[in-house]
Amino acid sequence: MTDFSLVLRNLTRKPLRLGLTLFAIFMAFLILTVLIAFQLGFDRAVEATSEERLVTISKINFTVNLPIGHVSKIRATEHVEQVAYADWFGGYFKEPSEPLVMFAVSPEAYLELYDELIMDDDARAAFLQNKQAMVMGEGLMREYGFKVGDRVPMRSNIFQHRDGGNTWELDLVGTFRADDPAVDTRYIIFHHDNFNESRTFGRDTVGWVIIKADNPANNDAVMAAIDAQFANSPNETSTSTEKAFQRAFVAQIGNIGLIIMSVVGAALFVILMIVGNAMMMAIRERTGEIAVFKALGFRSGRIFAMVLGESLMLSLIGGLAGLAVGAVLVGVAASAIPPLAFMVVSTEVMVVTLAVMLALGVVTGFFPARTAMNTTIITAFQKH
Amino acid sequence: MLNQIAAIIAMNVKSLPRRANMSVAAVAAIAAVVAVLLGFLAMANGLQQTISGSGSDDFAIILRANSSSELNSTLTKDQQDLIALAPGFARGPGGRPLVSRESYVIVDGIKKSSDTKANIPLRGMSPEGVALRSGVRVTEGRMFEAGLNELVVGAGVLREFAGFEMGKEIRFGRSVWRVVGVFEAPGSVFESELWADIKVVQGQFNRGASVQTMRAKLAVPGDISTPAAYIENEPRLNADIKTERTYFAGQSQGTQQLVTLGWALGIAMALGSLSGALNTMYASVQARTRDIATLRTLGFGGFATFVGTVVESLVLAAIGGLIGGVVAFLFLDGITASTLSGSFTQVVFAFDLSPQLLADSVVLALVIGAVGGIFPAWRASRLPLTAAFGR
Repeated sequence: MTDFSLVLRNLTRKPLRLGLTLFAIFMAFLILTVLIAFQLGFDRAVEATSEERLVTISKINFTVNLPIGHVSKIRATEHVEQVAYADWFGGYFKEPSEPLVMFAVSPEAYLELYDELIMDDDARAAFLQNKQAMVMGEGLMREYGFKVGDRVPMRSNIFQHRDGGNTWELDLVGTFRADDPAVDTRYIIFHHDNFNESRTFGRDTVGWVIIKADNPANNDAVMAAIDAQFANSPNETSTSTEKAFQRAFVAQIGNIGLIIMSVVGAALFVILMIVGNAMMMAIRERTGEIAVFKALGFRSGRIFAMVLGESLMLSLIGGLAGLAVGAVLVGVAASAIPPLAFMVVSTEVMVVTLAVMLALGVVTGFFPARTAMNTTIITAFQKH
Repeated sequence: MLNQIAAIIAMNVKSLPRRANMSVAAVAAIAAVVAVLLGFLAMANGLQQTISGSGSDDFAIILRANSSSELNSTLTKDQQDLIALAPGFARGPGGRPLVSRESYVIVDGIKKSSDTKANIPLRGMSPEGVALRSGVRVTEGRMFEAGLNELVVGAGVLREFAGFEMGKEIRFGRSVWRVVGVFEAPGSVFESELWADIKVVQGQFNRGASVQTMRAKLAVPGDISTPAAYIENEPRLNADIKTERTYFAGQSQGTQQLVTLGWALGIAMALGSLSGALNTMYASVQARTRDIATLRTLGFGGFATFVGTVVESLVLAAIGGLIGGVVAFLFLDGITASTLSGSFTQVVFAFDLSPQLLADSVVLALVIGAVGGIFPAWRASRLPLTAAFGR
């Protein structure tokens, strides 16, 4: 009989307790996998935004627009290589309660700056030459069941069309995607020119300006130069990297990481108590047997290792099952609920969960193993 | 038989401390489940109370048709004047209708908790505006004066954001404002706002004469039919009118997701801790095998043994539930936080642990206890009498 089969026998001697303990571990790792996939996916989506692109917004707040004249002044700033601008449309299709992320942009410059978006040459050409055109993320098109070639009535919850109503008829001429799933492509872009001349108010303004410097090393200088240029004007600006802007926006929602980590901590605490308790019980019951092993000449170290092996195995079996089911759940959620598409059980998620499994096995096994190791033959037989 | 049950319950419960080691795990697990569940529910409850709880039937809000929130709405000067003429609004001294024209601008503030920029709503309102909200009280300083760059600050803004103390000067873009007062509007979104004179806001933020919304006092509380018919029949108007209560209720849909998430996590964790409770109770029954069999030999019935074990489990669960509840109450109740609301601005709210939520979570704990006790109790009640003499 090898030590391994001995560990296995010990583990399975009380099937009911084993089953219950495994189930507790399973549930905890299921929760852990889903929450960590959410947290890491969320972080990655923020981190996937660019450190190289800069964003200029109104110093008052990003919802306050800037005059379109700012764009050419920014373009003339030293070390600025490319400039695009965009405006928030407040779009939706039919249901006002289901808003769409929709930007009116300067098309050519925007696509140049956002070169992580992959588009067919045909679609790109069609988009650039048709002022009524729009393009959207591939996933978004599938979600709404649109087809390339459709003329879609897009509505705004902010703006009025000069012909009355809040509808802009736009031609869907193509889609874009990104190789990195962390890059958000769940949005629509269309021509700012078209939007600007047909809206009834807010004419000749832009929501924000996107800038690329000739060299990222000049970013700080460019940011300072742009903001200095508009200081003490009626429309002061605030320029930052796109990533900093995105981080600040996410921070507005609240400390999501803290909430998730608290729940994960609580779930881990629960299984720590349950598994630790089960292991303690298992070892206490076996005091006599352990003494017998010792009397047979088993070394303390070997006994220690066997108990630790038992708890590690317990943690790994339950944990891996939880990870597997969690991965399936995350996959289903990511494809069924489009806003959760950033959730993915990446290698990183697996490594983290596996590390937690090992830690749990060691922590819950250590004290019972030490008790077992320190059991003296005499006291054990006395107790019996 | 009742005597038997009482005797066994007393015995089981009194001997709990002797089995403390193995009971602690179940109690702690249940406490953690209850604390997590309560955390989410208190957060959702606080947010919900703040966003929708404050709506009154006395007032009406008029927005451009199809605007989901104030930020997206615009009313031109002509439209405002037409709306002010609508019948069905209460009138003040001199027969003037009690209406307020309100603009809504988002400005940046620095959140104390994270030291990052966050959106705060700055509301420009007519002098009548203050009277068109219930429960507003100036606690420090005074209201803004018409025509001056003066701000009054909601108590929530003061708590969560830096630099809005009395007397401070604040720059938004090129304009400089002075804080002249602090107001409270307990438990409502208004506490998360800055208020100023409408004319000054329009001037400083290049808004011309347009506003976002109008607000009016209804002649008959809750009845918007008269003004609604007028707006409907006036071709130059494209607006919706809602009571404040309806409007706020529509803004709080997101909080339901928090409640769902809280329960989903709570139940998932409860299933896990149920295993712990079962383990503990099976072990407890096993540890008392000889006692139970002895009692049975003495003539105690199987049913009494059953009830005794279930009650033991329920007591453990109740202790766990109470600990979880107390921990949640001590650490979570009343803490304030702020998050992004539907209109893109920060809403400051306090975690609110209502007695109802506490009761709900104790029920969850007791369910864990009951299920965790029934199966081991069944085993206890079926122990053969010979078990008393085995081993």
